[in-house]
Amino acid sequence: MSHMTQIELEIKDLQALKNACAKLGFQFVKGQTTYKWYGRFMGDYPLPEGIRKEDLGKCDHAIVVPGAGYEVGVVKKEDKYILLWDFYKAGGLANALGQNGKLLKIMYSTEKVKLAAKRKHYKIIETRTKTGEVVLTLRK
Amino acid sequence: MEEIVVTIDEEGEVTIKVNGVKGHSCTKMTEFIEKELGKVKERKKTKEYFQSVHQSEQAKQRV
Repeated sequence: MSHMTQIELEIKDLQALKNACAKLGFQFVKGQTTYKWYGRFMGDYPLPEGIRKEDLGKCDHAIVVPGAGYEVGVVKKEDKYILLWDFYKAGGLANALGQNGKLLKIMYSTEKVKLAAKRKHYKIIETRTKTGEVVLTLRK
Repeated sequence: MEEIVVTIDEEGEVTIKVNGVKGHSCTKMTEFIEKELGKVKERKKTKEYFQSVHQSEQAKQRV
């Protein structure tokens, strides 16, 4: 091994996000401009950078999770997308998305790497470890 | 064998490694994935990375 890089994920690719949603059994709804949530900001958690409380409930696209009362808002900010969602338990998203939405982020990263690797004509070998890691090996 | 290994851990942290490539070209190999996924938080160069650069410098001097 000659070098190792750690990445801070940014969601920039709607196709990869759609693929991730499909893999998780979620429905990506293009152009849906509102998402379901509690409806009132209680101020008990920090908002994502660039999001004001007036922005909550508004989005550019949405993700519908079967069985959940609340939805995920996909908000375009400059060249990336921010996911907004209410993790209040009764909304049903916390289990489906995992803490901080990590299950959706893991699937997005997986799909994004696959799309990028295919464009460069890499062969992709996907494995999952017992601890839940996804390992993508790319070879030419 | 040259390969890129992308690991996404259970918390969603992404790590990219290159195997079987010596010298600076390994960083070029992963550039496209880094750009598409987000920002580089940390990049660690291993002994193999520096060794091969040193070797190629020696080779140039001999010529």
